[in-house]
Amino acid sequence: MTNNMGVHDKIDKVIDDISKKIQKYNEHRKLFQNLFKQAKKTLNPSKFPVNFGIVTTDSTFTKKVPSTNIDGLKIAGVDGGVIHRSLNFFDIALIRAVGVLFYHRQGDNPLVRYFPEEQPFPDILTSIEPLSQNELETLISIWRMQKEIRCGLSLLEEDQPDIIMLDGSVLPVLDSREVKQSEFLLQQYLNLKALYRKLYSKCQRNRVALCGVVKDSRSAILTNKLAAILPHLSRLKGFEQLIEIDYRPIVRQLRDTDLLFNILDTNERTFEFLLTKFNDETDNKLPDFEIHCFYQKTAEFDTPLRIEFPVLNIEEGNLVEKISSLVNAVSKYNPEYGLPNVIIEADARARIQETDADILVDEIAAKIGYTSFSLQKRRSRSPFKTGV
Amino acid sequence: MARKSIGTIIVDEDHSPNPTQFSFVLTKAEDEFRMQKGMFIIVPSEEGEVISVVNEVFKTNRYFSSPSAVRAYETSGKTLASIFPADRWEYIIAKAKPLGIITETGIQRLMYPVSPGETVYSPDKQTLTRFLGLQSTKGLNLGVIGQHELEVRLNLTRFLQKHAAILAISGAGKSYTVSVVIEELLLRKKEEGRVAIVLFDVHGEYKGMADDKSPFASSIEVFPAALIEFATNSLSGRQFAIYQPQMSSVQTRELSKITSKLYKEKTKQGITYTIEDILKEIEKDDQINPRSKEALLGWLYSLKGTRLFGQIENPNLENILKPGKLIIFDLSELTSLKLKQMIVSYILFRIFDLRKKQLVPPTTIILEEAHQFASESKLEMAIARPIIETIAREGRKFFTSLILVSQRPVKLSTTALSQCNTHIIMKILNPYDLDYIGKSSEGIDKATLGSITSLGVGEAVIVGNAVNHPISVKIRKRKTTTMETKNLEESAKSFDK
Repeated sequence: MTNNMGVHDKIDKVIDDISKKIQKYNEHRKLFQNLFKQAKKTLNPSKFPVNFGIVTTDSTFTKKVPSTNIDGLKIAGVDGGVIHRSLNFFDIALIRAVGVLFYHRQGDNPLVRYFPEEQPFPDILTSIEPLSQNELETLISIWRMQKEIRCGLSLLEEDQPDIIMLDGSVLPVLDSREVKQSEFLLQQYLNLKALYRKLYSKCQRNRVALCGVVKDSRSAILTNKLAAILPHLSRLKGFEQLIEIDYRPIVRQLRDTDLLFNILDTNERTFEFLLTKFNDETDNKLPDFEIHCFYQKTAEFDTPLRIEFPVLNIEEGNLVEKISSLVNAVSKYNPEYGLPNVIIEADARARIQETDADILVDEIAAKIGYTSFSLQKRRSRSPFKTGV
Repeated sequence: MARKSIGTIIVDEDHSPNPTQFSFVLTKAEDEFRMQKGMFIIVPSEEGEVISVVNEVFKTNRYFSSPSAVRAYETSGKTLASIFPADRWEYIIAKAKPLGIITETGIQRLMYPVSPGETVYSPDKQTLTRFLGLQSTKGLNLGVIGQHELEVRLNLTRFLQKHAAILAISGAGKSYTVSVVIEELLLRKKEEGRVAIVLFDVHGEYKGMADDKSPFASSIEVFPAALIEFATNSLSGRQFAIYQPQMSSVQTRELSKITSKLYKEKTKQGITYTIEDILKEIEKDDQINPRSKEALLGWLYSLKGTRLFGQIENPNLENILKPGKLIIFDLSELTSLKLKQMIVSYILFRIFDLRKKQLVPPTTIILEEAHQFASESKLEMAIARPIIETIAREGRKFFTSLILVSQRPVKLSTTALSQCNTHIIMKILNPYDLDYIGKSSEGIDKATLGSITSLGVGEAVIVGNAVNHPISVKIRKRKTTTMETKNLEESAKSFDK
C-alpha cells in the first residue's frame, strides 16, 4: 500500500513537472510569435546582416500571396509510395510513383491525366547487399526518389504542365554520412542526383515551374537564423523583452512551422530565402542550381507548408510569386488541411497497401518452398499480436 | 445474355468470404454493366459453379468517406468533384449469398467458401433458366427477370398442380397478372396440354377479355350471375345445409331423407324437380317433428328466395368446360356476399365432382377476392370455404387447381393458402399481411420479404414450387384489355352529362 502511494506521488510529480514545462514553453513561444507577428510588417529581411546567411530577394518578412486564376492551366503533382519487407536472406521493397495532372477548364471539372497510369503496378526491388539497417533505409529512400523523379520526367515528356509539385523536398534529402560509407549507396546517390539535375534542366528548358511541397516540416533553419539575428533586432520595438529572457532554449525547441503558424495569416507567405545549393562535394564540378524556399499558410487551421524550388531561368516574371500563387490556388479549399489537391490525389494513387507486400512475400515463400513465416526475420514474427 | 466477367471477390472490412456470404468489387464500368440487387451471379470453383444472388449493392468513394473533410472542402464554395477526380475513386461493392453449386448431379449445398480474387460472372441465360427451374421455350411466360432480361416461363405442372396465390394491395397489378396468366393458359397448344379455366369475376373486370377485338374472344364465355341456376336435384340435404349453415343436424337429416326419396322417385326416372317440390314433400311429411318442419321450411323458403335453385343447371358445367377455354362467371351485379358465396360454392363443388368422374378436363379455377370466399370467419359468413379448402387439399390428385387472388392474405383461410405452393406476391404494405405471407410462403427469405413493400406496379416476386429460388419479375404486357379504367373525374363527368 505504502509502495503504491509512493508510485502515485512520483507520477503526480512527473506530471506536474511536465505540465509546468509545457506551460512555460508555450508562454515563451507565444511571446516569440507575438513579437514577430507585430514586427512582420516592418522587418526587412533583405537588410539583415549578410553574415547571418539570409539571402533573399524579398524586402518584407511576410507577403500576401496574390490570387490567380487557374483556368486553362495544367498543374501536376508527383508522389511515391513504398512498402518494405526484411526477409531472412534479402530485402524487398515495393515502390511506385504516380504523377497526376489537372487541366483546369473554365466552368468545368478539371480533366485528369495519370502518369504512367492511374494505378501502376509497383516496381519490386530486392537487395542482397550487406547493408546495415540505416543503410538499407537510405537505399530504399533513394529508390523511391528515383522512381518519383523518373515519373516527373515522363510527365514532362508526355505533357506540358505549368507547374510540377513534388510531395516533399525538391532535393534528394539523405543522410550523407550513410551514403558516403558505402560505395554501392554512393553510386545510387549519384544516379539519383543525376536524375534530379535532369528534371531541373528539363523544367528549365520546357519553362515549367518546379517545387517541392513539405507538409509538417520539422526543419528549424529559419528559426535558427532568426535566433542568431535577434540580438541585432533588440533595438526594434518590443524585441527588448527577449533580451530579458533566455530565449536560446526556446529557439532550440521551436520548429519553423511552430513559429510561423501564428505569424502567418492565411494566404500569406514568408520571404523566400536561399536554402542551399544543389551541388555538394560529389558533383561540385557540374553546373549548379540554387534551391530557395519559403513557408506559406494555405489553410487557416493547418500548419504552414514549406515550399522549396530550384531557381530556374524560365524568363517568366517572378518565379516565387508564380509558385506561391499556384500552390495557394490548389491548396486553399479546406481550412483544416492545406495540401495541394494534386498531391493529395497522387498520394492516394501511389500508396501501397501492407497486404500487397504480404501477398508478394507469400508468393515468393511458396515458390522457394518456405512458409512465409520462416522466411520473415525473427523479430517480425512475434507469436503475439502487438498493440491489442 | 452471354456469360461475362463482371467482378472479383474481395476480402472486405466486415468479413472474408464464407459459405453464406461474400463480397465482390465490380470491375466493369457502370455504363457497361449495371449491378442490381436481386441479380444472380456465378463464381467458378473446383466442385462446380457457385450460383449466388446479390442481396446488397453499395458504392464507395474514399473522397467522401470522411464527413468532416467533405464539409471542410465544400465550405470553399466548390464541390469536391470539382477539386478532385472523385468520380475516378468510385467503386461498386456487392454482397452476395451463395445458393448452391451447379454440379452434374444437380444443385448441391455450398459447404466451402469461394476464394478471394476469384472472378465473378454474370450467368448465361441457359444456366440461369436451369437453376431457377424455368422453361426455355414452353411454359407460361409471365414476364422477365429485369436484371437478366430472362423470360420467366413457368412449368404448368409446377405452377398449378399444387395451386397458386396472387397476393397484392389494390392497384398493384393483381388483375393484370391474372389476365397474363389466363392469356398464357389460353395460348397453349393442344400438344402442350391445355386446361379449362374458370374465373369468378367479382368486379366485372375481365369481361373485356371476351370483346370482339380480343384475340381470345372465341375461347371465352361470360355468364352473368342472373343466368346462373343450380340443378336442385343434384343437391343433397348436406349441401343445402352448407348454404344455410344455421340448419341443425336433425333438420339436415330430415331434409336428406326427403332429397333421397325424391332422388329415387324422380331423378332415377329421369325427371327433374325444384325446391318447390322439396317444400311440398316436407309439408306433407307427418313424421317430421313439427318444430323441425317449421324451421326447415323457413330455411328452404329463404333459399328459394335467392332464385338460384332451378330444375336444370345453367350453364351446364359439363358442357362448357373445355380444354383451352375460359369461363367467366360475372358476379359484379350481385350485392349479396352470401349469394356470391353460394354460387362459388355450388360451381366449385360441381367442377370437383365432375373432375373426379373425369367428365371435364383438368381445370384451373381463379378466384378473385378470395378472402371474401375463403375467409377464416364463421361458416355462415364463409359458405364457400369448405369446398375451397377441400379442393386446396385434394384438388392436385384430380388436377383441379386453384389460383387464389387476394389483397388481404391475412383474412384468407390458412388451410387454403398453405396449400397454394406457389405465390406471386406483388406490392404489399400492411405489416400483418406481410408477416402472414412470411409465415405461409414456402422458400421466402427475409431479404425477399423485405423487398415486397418496395415493389413497383407490375412487379412481382414469385416464390414456391414453380421456381427453385425466389425471383423478381416484371410482369409482361398483356395482349387483352380488361375493364375500362376511368379516374374519378372522368367517371363523374360521364355521369353528369
